[in-house]
Amino acid sequence: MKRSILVSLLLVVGLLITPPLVAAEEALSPEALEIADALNCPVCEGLSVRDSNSQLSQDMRRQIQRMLDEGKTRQEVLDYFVDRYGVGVLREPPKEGFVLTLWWGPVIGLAVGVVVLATFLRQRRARGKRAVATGDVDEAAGADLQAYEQRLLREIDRMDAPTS
Amino acid sequence: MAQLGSGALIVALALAVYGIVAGVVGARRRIPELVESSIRAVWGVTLLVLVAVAALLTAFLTHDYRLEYVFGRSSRDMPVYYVAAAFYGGQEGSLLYWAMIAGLLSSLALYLHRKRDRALIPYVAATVLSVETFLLLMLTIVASPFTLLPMTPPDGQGLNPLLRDPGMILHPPFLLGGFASFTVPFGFAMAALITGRLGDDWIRAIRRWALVAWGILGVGLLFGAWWAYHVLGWGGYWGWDPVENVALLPWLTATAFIHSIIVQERRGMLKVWNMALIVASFALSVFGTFTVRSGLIASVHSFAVSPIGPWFLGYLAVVVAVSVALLIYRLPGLQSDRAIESVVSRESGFLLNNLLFTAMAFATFWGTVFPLITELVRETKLTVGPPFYKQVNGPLLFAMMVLMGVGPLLAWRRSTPRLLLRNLLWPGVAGLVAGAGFLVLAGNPLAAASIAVTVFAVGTIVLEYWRGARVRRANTGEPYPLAVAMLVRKNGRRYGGYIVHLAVAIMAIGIIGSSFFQVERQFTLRPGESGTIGPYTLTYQRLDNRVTREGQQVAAVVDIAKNGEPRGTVETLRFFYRNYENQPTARMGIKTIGIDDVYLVLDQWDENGTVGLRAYINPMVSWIWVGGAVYVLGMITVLWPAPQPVRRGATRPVREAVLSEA
Amino acid sequence: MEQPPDSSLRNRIIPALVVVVIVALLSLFGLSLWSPGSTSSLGAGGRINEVGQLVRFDDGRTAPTFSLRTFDGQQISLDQFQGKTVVINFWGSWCPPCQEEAPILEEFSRNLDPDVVIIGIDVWDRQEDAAAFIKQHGLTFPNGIDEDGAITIDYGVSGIPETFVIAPDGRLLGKYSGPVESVEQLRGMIRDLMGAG
Repeated sequence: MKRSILVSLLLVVGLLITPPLVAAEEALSPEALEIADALNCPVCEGLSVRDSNSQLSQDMRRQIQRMLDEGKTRQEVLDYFVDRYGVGVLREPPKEGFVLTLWWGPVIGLAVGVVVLATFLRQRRARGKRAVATGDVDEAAGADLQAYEQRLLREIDRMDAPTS
Repeated sequence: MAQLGSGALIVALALAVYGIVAGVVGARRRIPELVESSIRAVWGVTLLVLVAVAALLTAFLTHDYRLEYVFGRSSRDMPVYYVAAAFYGGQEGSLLYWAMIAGLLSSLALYLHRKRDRALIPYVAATVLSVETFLLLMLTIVASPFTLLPMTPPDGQGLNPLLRDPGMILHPPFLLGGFASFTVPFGFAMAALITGRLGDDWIRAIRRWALVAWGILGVGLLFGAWWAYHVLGWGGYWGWDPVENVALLPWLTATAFIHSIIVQERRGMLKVWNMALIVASFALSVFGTFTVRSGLIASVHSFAVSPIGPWFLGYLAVVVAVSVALLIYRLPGLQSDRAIESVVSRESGFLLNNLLFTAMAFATFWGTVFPLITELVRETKLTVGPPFYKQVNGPLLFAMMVLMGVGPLLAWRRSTPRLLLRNLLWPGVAGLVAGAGFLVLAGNPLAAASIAVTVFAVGTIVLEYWRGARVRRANTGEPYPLAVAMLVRKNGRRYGGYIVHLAVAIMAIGIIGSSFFQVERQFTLRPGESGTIGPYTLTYQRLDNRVTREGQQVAAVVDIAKNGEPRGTVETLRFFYRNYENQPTARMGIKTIGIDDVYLVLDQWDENGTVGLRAYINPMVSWIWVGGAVYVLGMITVLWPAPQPVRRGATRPVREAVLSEA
Repeated sequence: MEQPPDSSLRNRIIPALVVVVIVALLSLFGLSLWSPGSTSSLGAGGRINEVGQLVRFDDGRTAPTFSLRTFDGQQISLDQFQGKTVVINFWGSWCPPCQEEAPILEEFSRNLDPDVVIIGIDVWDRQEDAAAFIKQHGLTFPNGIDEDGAITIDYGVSGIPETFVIAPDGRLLGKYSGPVESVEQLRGMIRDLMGAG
């Protein structure tokens, strides 16, 4: 529902009042489509220039194709749009400056998680060694498939245990 | 109707406040009558909310446009099912719906648990009622669905066109219902923390309710994807849009929880962590509602700016502050009963699973809120789009699939590496063969690797089923098919869980196919002309202009042929609803042929019937919907009560007895 | 995660970190919620700039040249106004603030300094709607439709109304997003931008 409301907005802009059909066929090269997919539609929420049907996006797609036809490179085309619309126009925020925080965030998060997990495991194991002798462990039963099946049987059996 | 509805809400609010006091005082002073009355208060509040819901629905169905909410969201020309669905089509109604689902599930939970979990119950009731109090406060003061207009307009404005779609009838109730149903596990968690009864009581109660919430929310997400795919017309089903992300977050933490709770049941570990996950799931549900309602993240959404934002932020702060404070206070009581014995064990498999799910939730959260940070720090607007999520969550998902293949083969406490390797042999071989074959066929190494791990994970599931059936057959003499059926019946949690794993694998194949191999082309066609995309020829027949009860439709009729052979006709539509003529919506023309979806978007047209069409070939997308159906099947299997076996020795430790409880 | 009872240090550090993170997040949301939020909204034809905001371009960039066919059939280009201060206003007939702004711009154009020019560029619009808009507001200064959207893109317009000021030497001085409120305000803005240049 929430999402729908957001998306309703996308649509409000994304699908403009039926524009008069552009006479020229919009013949975009795969490269132009790829560039269009790397740019945010500035008048939409969350749609790329490739996916949006807004007037501006249509114009931008044609502009991309025109620039490519003039021999501009992908980077030059992207720079052209960044100059005019700011870095926010890029779908993939550049991996530089302050935006690096964005990219490193999850990596750091994962690293912290790994460290916490590792510490936890080491501590637990250190304490666990003392308690090891108490229970039956797979190893005791011999390392073959029989052991696995015995274990499975035990587990299934246990699952069958009474529902209180 | 309006008086009845708003009256019911006000009485419900008073009753909720009374119930909180009664529950807490009753528990403190040990007055069973007060506790009982607080349970009754939950039922009463639910009943009153239902009265309000009935009043609002009646207002909708009788076209009572005196109500501002009804006027703004329905009209006489709308079919009755959309009029009814308009009930949750706006902020006020969706809050009321939240309150209703939370109330219904809590009432049911209290009814089922009131005998068994006596100590927890008063605080469960109090927590649930505090949630209701907040919602009812919103519904009576800030966002009342029963606000009256000064006069009665003859007709309403009609529902937002985007909501007039079958997908929209189903998506919001499930998504909001999923959010709301985290209220119950949250209630039990709070009760456990408040009473200090952190043993096994609360887990037993909480697990099934967490599963319910997780399942409902998952179905809501799937319906949302289905709706986006059929209506939004960018050829995709998931756009990593902030609003989608915030709905995914509680599902991720809940998924982590339903895995790690197993560790706590079996081994008495991870108590703090599990408690934190439940609190996080509920807080993220509130956050999700808050984000969209306040227009916080996509701050350009002036439509969403509503007075409710600060209230929700305040509530979120209260929820988080109280839970964290309680968690810290109870830390000593939440120590593990046992220790990890080996790194190669089911326990550490689950830990890794939790690491991956938490990492994914964190990355998604980080990407979603990052634009807020840049705006504050740098004053530049930044959009974090799909490329970020694909690059960050892609590898995590990949690791998750590997783990999904390995995890079930790990033994509790400790696994022998040799045995583990022997177990991994066949699934591993299957994965490698599939990956290599795929590489030869399609030539995309990344896609091939993804296919390989997916097949590997499926291999494990098959192996587990086969092993289980064999053991059972050896033990009971049942033939294989019966043995499989009995396995699922008697060990719903384990083997139903594998069905969900299978669903994930099926969806993964759909996601791999559609994200690596989508083809797009654009055409401008006159009637009778055709264009080709891949092996498909699209022949544009005609443009139909239809006048309907609700407005106008424009439909491009296109014949599809594969390698010259006719495969049927599709229509791709644009709708213009009355009062919303400048917000046309669409329904895509989608034809599933073999593994491909041929997906047609009507972009433009002119008086002569010339159309601008965008065509996509989306391979394997239908697998995602099939996977969704399997997910539901697995979820039901997990939740289905196991048959009651004959009671064995009453001396059996509680934890083991608890195992068969979902 | 859990710690054995003896590691009381960790038992404090982790909760403390959690609290810090949560407080930071909540304040972030609060700040964002109460900071002046949206300055634009999505209208029927594109984004509408509702709240005025002056942006100064300090990098001395050159205004992109363009040529435009006006509604009365003339062909004009930016080059022909060299040596004059050029005010360019982007508008659309479907945009409510543009409607409010139109009379102000017309008044401004009738009392121009000799070295100032104003040009209106209609974007994301239909020819007939735009013509009706011009007739309705009796606009007399040169106005034309940006047919292929090239000018709009070249100026980086993502919402309207938006008004650019170009120095006599061709430098693009800045832009004002949102509706101009009065002739005086527009004059003051031009002075401001010229002074800074």
